[in-house]
Amino acid sequence: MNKEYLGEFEELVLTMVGILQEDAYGNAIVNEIKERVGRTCNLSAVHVTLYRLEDKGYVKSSMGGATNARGGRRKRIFTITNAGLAMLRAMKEQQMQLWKLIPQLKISGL
Amino acid sequence: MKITTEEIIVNHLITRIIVRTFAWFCPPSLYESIEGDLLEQFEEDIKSVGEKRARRRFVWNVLKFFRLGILLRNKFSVQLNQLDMLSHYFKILLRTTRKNKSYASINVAGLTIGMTAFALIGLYVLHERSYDDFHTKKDRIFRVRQDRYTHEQLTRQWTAGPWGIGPDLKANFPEVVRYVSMTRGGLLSTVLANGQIFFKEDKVFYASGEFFRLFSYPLIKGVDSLVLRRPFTMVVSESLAKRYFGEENPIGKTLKNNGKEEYEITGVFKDIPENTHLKFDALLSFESLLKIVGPVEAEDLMSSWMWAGNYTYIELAPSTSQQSFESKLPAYVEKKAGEILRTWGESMAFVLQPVSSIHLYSNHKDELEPNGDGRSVNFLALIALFILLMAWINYINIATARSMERAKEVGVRKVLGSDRLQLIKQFLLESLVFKLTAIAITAILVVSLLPHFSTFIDRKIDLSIFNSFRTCLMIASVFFVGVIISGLYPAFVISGFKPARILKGSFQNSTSGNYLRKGLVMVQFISSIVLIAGTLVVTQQVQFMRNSPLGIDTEQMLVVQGPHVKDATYASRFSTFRQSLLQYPEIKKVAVSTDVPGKAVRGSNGGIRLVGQDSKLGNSYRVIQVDEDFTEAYGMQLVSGRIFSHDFKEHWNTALVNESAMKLLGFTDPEKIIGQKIYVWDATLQIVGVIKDYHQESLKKKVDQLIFVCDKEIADYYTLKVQTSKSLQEVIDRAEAAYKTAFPGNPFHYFFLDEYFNQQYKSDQQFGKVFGLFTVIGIIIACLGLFGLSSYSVLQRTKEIGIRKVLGASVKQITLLVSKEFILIVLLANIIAWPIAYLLMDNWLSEFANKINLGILSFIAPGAIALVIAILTVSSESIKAAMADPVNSLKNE
Repeated sequence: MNKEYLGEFEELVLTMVGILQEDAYGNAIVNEIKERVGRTCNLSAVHVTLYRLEDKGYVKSSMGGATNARGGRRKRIFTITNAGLAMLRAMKEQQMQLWKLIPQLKISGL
Repeated sequence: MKITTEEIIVNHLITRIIVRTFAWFCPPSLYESIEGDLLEQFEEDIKSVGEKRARRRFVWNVLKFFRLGILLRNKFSVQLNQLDMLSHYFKILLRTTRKNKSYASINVAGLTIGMTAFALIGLYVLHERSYDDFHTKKDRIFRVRQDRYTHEQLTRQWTAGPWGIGPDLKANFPEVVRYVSMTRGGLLSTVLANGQIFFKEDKVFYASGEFFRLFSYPLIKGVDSLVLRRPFTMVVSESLAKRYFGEENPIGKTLKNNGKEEYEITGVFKDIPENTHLKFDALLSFESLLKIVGPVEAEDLMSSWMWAGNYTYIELAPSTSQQSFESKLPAYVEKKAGEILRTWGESMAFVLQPVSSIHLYSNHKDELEPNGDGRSVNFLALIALFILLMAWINYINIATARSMERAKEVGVRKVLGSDRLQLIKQFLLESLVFKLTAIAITAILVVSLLPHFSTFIDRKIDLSIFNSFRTCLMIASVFFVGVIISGLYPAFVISGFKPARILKGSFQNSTSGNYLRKGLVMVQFISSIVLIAGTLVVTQQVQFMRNSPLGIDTEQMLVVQGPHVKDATYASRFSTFRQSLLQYPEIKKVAVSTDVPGKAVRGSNGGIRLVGQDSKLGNSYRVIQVDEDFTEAYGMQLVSGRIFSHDFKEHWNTALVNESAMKLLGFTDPEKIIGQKIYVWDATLQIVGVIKDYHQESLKKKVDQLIFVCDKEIADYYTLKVQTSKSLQEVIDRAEAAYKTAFPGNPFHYFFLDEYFNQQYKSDQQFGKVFGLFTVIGIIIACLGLFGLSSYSVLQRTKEIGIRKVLGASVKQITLLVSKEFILIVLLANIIAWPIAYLLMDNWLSEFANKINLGILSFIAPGAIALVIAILTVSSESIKAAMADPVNSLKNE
């Protein structure tokens, strides 16, 4: 197991970066989270999380090209690194293992 | 569309401010993408929720970005970079300092000396200004001074006066909230006794009931409005209570005053602080005084406006200003006493003295203690500022001069890409380090020198001034403004060097900078010369006053204070005392008088005139009561007539006058005045003799018009004229023994007249001492400045000197060459300093009735001293340069 610990929100953002591929920048991630999970989150929270993930080496970033939208400001595009992918996978497996330990079929209670 | 979105943000003030602020705080690398995201969201929001709500959301979103996760990213990276530079600056500083130890220590020493002097004098000045500042009502408390005019001429200014003023003002003016009457009750000192424990007390007053409500002297025991209400009650200081009662609770106990009345102690106050003009150890209730003099006399005194040695303080209502109240007083004085005063040719005016200005700006008759002198305090403050300025100038001078050494470094730095701001920062930092070091040493020096300084100037100064936040802030700002300003100039000069010229090697400092530095050194020398001249003049004047003949004998005169505890048997007791003393061959004369030389005669009376003259022609004279032996004991010289003698039954029927009094009475021929009769205090006296003018007081004062009256019931001072080559201790012991047998229950106090007399010069001597101290400090600082400048100049001319030597110049010629310009500076400084010194010292001397003449020598001598010191300072550097081997200076290019 990796010593590095990933928070719940960090995991969510990291997953979104993985999903969005070349289009993963701050605002897109906010919208993606809202669309897919139905959760409203603040832009600044997403940014801070992205930078933290970058510090940990799970994503890397580069500036995208300028467009006419957003006042001509460039986007900072994040891409998931191999370490990030491995981390996501490890966490998923860990959760699955834990999930299996919960006794299923609790129908009697109904 | 995109233009409008940005415009929406920019056109809205609050939004704009928030965005700008964020832009300032946000790490630049992250800013663009964040702003882009924000704008994008804003655009979407405009479409979905409308412009107004969108903008609100936008603002909220921006505000949310002010979080540690963003801001810290910023600070860390920048700080790290600066820390690197900072440590680099320190390293360089350490290296250059190590390379130039003498320069660094001169610099720090100059600053430290200057700042220490400034701080010490600053403390003194603040102390002097803090007098009576602690009264919570200080802006509303006034002492009522009475100015008396004789024939429209201001003749007397009384700080003490009638009993009746306080009650009268309170009754007639609603603006007067309360008043305090205070008097010594006729005695300069008194003896308090608890059974067999008795001491002489100098600071005991009768004070009226509202004393502790008007002033803010804190009571430890007792209620402020009650303690002095009843007759025969008293309030004592903490230490006085301890002296008489030890650790016992003094409340309810009694003390006997002068062997007569018993006073019950109703309150204890904290010992009086140093910084008040009104110092007392015990207060007796004013009501007691009324009881002692009896109802008839009390009624008389309370309603009369005759002088009775009473201090009156009033508290004005908050809404009343001093001016508006003072303007109402002349009409009142006229109504109450105008008529009667006019019959004596007199008039009178009340003047209000704000309580906190008394210490520095009141110097009149009957002051409670010798007050400070506002003028010399301001003078000292000015000098202190000058010294500080000199120290900073010095720093600027040395730092700029030494910049030569750093020129190459600056050149290389600039070539490598330093901008000017960075260089300024570096050199400011260096100056900051130097100055903080100096400030730290100053702080240590001030704390350790303060006790010595306090004794030196004879004032109890402590650091309690620093309890006030405002003063601290003031001191800190003076220091830091100086630090910044004196650091900025060198930093700007050094950072302005042109790298190409420096590195090519053809570097020369600007001539304008040279003129500035020379000008600054000249200013330093001007102040030094003025200071030296001042010291010389002050010392000469004090010497002159102490050594001039007074016209009387003051050597070998022992003065014993008369008894306070006395009764009807006094006359016979005194006779015993006198006889037993005269048995000793060493004691030649014993005389009694109400005053002795060394202080102004206390008794002063207006309306004295020749019998037969109109009462309006009366004038005011000082009246001194003496016995028959007084004039002879003091060796006073007779001009005409005779002195008092035991052969005549003289008691309030004859008088002697001095020459000044004779002139005021209208006589020029001393023979003609003999036999004339004058009115003094309701008595008719015949003038029997004229005495040569002598100095009753310090030579600072004019000779007063004196009238001597023979009075055998007085007991203020006994003067013992002694003639012995042995130690005086024996005489003192004998006098004490005789005194104790003649006047039991009275403590024995004595002083030597010459010492007593010379005490008057104490403040001037102190002024001279402080002045001298400053002069030395000023000269040291000026020398450091000159040293810095001359070494700089030598450094700049190293090559020139080398070439001159190779071509055959002698050591003498080169020394002269280098020293010449500095000697010129000092000579020029002399020419400017002389008129300044003359004006200042002429002004200082104008206070003295007897003064020295300001000779040319008083100015030439300081100039010569300054010149010699300057030559010594400069020659050390120039001789070194002249002796140097030219090979060393010429071989490296």
